[in-house]
Amino acid sequence: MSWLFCQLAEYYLALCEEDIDRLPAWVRRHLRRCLRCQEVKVAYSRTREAMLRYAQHLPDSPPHGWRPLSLRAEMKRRVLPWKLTLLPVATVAIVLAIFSLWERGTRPSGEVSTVPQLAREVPVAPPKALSQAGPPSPVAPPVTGNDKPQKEPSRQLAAPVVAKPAPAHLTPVVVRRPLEAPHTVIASQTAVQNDPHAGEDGGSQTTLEPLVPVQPVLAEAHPPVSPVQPPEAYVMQAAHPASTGGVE
Amino acid sequence: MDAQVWEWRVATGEHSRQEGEHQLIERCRAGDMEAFGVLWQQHRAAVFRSILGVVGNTQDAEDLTQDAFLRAYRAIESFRGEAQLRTWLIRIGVHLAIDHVKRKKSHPEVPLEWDVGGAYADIDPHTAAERNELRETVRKAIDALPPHHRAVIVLRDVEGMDYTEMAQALGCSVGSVKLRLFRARRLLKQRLEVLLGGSR
Repeated sequence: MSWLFCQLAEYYLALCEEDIDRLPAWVRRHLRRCLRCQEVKVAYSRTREAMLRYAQHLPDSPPHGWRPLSLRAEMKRRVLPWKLTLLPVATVAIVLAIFSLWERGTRPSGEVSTVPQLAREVPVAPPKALSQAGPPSPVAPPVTGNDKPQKEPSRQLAAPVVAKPAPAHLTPVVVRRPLEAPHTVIASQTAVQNDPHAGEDGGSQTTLEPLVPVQPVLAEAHPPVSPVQPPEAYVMQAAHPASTGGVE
Repeated sequence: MDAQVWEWRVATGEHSRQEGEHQLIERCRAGDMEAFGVLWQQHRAAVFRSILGVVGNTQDAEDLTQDAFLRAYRAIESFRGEAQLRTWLIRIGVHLAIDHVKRKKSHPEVPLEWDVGGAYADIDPHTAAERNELRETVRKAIDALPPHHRAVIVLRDVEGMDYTEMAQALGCSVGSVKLRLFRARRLLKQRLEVLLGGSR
């Protein structure tokens, strides 16, 4: 118990600097009785005295005088407040926001794909049937990064759709037919009217003969693949054998 | 104002106007370097002494004092006026000094000695030698303390701050200041008993 009193008294002695009368009464009573605490009190007084003498001789300035405080760099720094520092960042952010809004406005409504998605798209290979059957078609120039994305909705540029598996009865049956070569059909027929007497025979009318005059028709099944290379041949086919003067 | 002219005015002490500290702070916030020069002249000695008490090296203390005032000039807008400006400046300086001591502890250097003849040039050599010896002994005892204990001892015994000012300068409560001071003085007493007992 006495040890505890000594420890507590030492705390007050360490913090007491000037007058012992400021100490609590129980500390003063303890000091009168305890020799160890009296020695502690003397040791603290010597320590305080040494510190005061040390503090008295601490210099107030550097031994070689004060260097002038150089605030030039600080002046330059203060000229540019944080608002001006943030100005270029804010400008770039606003420009980017306007550009993204403009890009979103010019994109077709149904198109949801973005450029990174297009970049990740695997290019679709040309169909084999076209390359085998037809003449070699000119190769389309590769799409580079600088090119603008096509405005028309394209099958190749469409985003990959991860669709849920549809029920079997709702799944449309896709019939894939091989692409045929460009096939041009020219149906030519002279402007001959049907035999007016043919119907008067009272016989059975055949449905093979058209009843309306047929004009020569130039029809293309497919547009030419390339304007440079026209189709190799045209297939001449009579619309009706009678038009060619054949024997009925 | 030109920086060289301003430095010349600060060096020659050409400031006869008695202005309140608050007005000087307001002028500093407006970017007036002359007003900050007045504050520099008023408080640099206290800041220097506090830093020197912690680091124990005049060269480092001068550098840290300059650094402390530069930081104060940079952060003068954040000074709320809750404490005195002197306490605020000493707080900046003491924290810089504590960081310096911690950094130096990991990278120890050979300390520069104080100027032997400068402070005691006007007294007889015997007394000067005694004082130098005492100063060296106390300095060794202080250097043996942790940086936070050095700061609390210096603020109390060198700068004569009261507990409230010390709490503001150290950023802790008054009770914490008292506890730190008790521990610091106990360590210092033990150290001085060893050093002075050996010399006597």
